[in-house]
Amino acid sequence: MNTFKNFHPITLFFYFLFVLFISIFSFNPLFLIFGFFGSISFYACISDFKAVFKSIIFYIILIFAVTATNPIFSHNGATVLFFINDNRITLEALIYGAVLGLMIAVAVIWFRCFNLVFDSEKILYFLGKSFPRLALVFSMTLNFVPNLLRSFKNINTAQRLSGKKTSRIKRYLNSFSAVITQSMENAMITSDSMKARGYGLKKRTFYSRFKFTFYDLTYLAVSIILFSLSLAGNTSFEFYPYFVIPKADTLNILSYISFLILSFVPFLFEVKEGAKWKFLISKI
Amino acid sequence: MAKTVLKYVITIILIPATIILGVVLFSDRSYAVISIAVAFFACIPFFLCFERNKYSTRRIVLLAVMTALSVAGRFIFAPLPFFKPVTAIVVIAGMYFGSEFGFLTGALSAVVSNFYFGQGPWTPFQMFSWGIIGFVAGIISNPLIKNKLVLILYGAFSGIAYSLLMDVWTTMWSDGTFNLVRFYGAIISALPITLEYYVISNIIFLLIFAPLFGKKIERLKLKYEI
Repeated sequence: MNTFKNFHPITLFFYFLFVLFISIFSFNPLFLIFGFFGSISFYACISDFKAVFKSIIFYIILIFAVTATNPIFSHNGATVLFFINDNRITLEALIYGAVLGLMIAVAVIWFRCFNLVFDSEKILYFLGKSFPRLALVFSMTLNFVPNLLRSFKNINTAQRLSGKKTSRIKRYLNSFSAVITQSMENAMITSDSMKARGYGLKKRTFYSRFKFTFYDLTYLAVSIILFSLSLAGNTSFEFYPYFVIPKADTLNILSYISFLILSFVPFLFEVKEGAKWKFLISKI
Repeated sequence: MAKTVLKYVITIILIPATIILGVVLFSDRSYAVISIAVAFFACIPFFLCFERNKYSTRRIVLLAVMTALSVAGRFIFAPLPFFKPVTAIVVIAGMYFGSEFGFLTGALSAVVSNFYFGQGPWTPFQMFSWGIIGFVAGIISNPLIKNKLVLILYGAFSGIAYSLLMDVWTTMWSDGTFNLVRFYGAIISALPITLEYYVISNIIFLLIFAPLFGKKIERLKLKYEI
């Protein structure tokens, strides 16, 4: 189930902006661990479980790879572990690499979720207001791509079954060439049709099915509050020359808790909606 | 009119402001996000131009078709590993329809193809890289159309340029700052792919597609007066 994507594009956009911003900038292992579990649990909700399990293995390999390579490129840090060809390998660089790997993994998982939640219609919503013409081209392109692929498939099959003995690459090129001609001819017909219907005479109106409801506003407000609370504490880690952990005062703990909630908002929302769905079904 | 001027001023001020703000606010890991923002803002003037100019309807639809062809080409030639015609078609778009058209084809191809292959922080970089390749192709369109050698050289150049620009991104993304050692590492590790995928496939596709598209576009121009 993916009910989180039914939110208004603005709410969704700011949510992803906030979590990505903190994940990329904070460089705080605790924040990143929260983000990792928050994003992966949400990702498991909206895509199938097997794919997530496979991707977890990939992320762990990624984190190890970055951890292992960072000390080769970076020789900062005071605690020298050992030397390789007169290059010092430091503990700080190793820890920095681990955090870096985690950061990249978290950002990639959030972007995967973003891809599943933020479809092209939502992008069009953003473009449509300030760039109406670009939005038109964009939506036309999205329509053309599957059309072109379909006509390529048709032409290619016809060529293959015609009994002509040509190599596969040659046939692909021939079919692609036919697709080019066909699509360009069609473009001319489309533009004539647009012109006949009066495109460009008046300002275009733009339809979108998204409505900014009170529900959207509430979620946006909650994420803004959690985001600002997460930034409130002085939670920056220092890596070089020594590894310095920030103090655990009240404000910092508050920041950690707010980011923990912020990361798990989509997951909790999915769980809540899933439970509601099951409850309503059981009632029937 | 006032609105357009305002938008331009915002764009001109926005890029330096992003850099300054980024450096002041996040002294440590600033480069990655600043560079993404700058790459994105650099595309905005072209989009604004496109909104303002009186493009004919035919050119608007053709822009969508060229973008769709470059994205569809990525699928069609998927059986050949590393052979992706996106750059070649972007160059051709710039060559025959002018630099602005080339930039838009490149930038839009990046966004649309990433709907299928995954959006990420690299999207603005791809937009800018392919866009600028199409833009330059539009500037030197005359020698590109007339001289095959120039076409081959530009195909190689655009492949290397694209690869280098993406390596800059990899470096900044994984280090936060521009680490020269890591940059060299990225270039060397990407060298076989750069040569095979970007350079050779670009040249082959350009040599095949340029005359192919050229003939069709000439005919289109004659028939429909674009």
